[in-house]
Amino acid sequence: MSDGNELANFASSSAGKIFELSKQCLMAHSARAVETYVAKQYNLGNYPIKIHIRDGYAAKAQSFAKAIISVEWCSIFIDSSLGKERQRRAIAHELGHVILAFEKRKESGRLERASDRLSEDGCGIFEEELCALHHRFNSDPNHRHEVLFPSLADHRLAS
Amino acid sequence: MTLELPMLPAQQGFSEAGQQFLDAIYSSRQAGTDSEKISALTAYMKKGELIVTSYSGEDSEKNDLLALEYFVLIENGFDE
Repeated sequence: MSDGNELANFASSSAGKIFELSKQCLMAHSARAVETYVAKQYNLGNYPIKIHIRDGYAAKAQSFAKAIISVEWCSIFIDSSLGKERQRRAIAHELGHVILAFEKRKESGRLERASDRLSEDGCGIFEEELCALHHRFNSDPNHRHEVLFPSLADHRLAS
Repeated sequence: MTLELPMLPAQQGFSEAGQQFLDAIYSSRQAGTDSEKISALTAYMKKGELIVTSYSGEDSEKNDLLALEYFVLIENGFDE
């Protein structure tokens, strides 16, 4: 990248690549929010959450989505055959497991397997409410300005 | 509203991808490359420092182990 044109071309094509990748980063804001919430609420330095959308995961782990939740990090695996909405809801559900697991840990001092009906119901409520809030926010024209860039309305790529 | 999920592969028989994965796990076990990592993860589970949760499907120790083995293979660079 020795001249301005080369740099400009690289920057422009990188923006395109990153934008395409960002479309695959489902529930990314919520995942970042849970990272921040867990780190702050439970006094951890940071709490990285990785989300993997994988082909054929259900065949391998006998579940369409699973989360491996440790006290230091979390990895969420989702089967790519689920439609986009199901994938996003599954991520929300597993993020619910993260929060509930840490809340329970406050009492017991341990992360405990949350396979009982009550915990699943709790994660189901978290999933539905989080996704419903997203739906309401994104459906409301009054909130659209928060995700748009009016200052770039005249940009060649904006229309 | 709960979304209905399709049948799990176990109910349909293993797919080719599933079989390849099991073969990869078997080879990995034979080579002994991942056993230490998986032992460490299961030890964390026993200490209450790690859990496996699922969105669908049966929660069982066997399925947890499959999830951990998959995780270790991914961490080690396994890809389809």
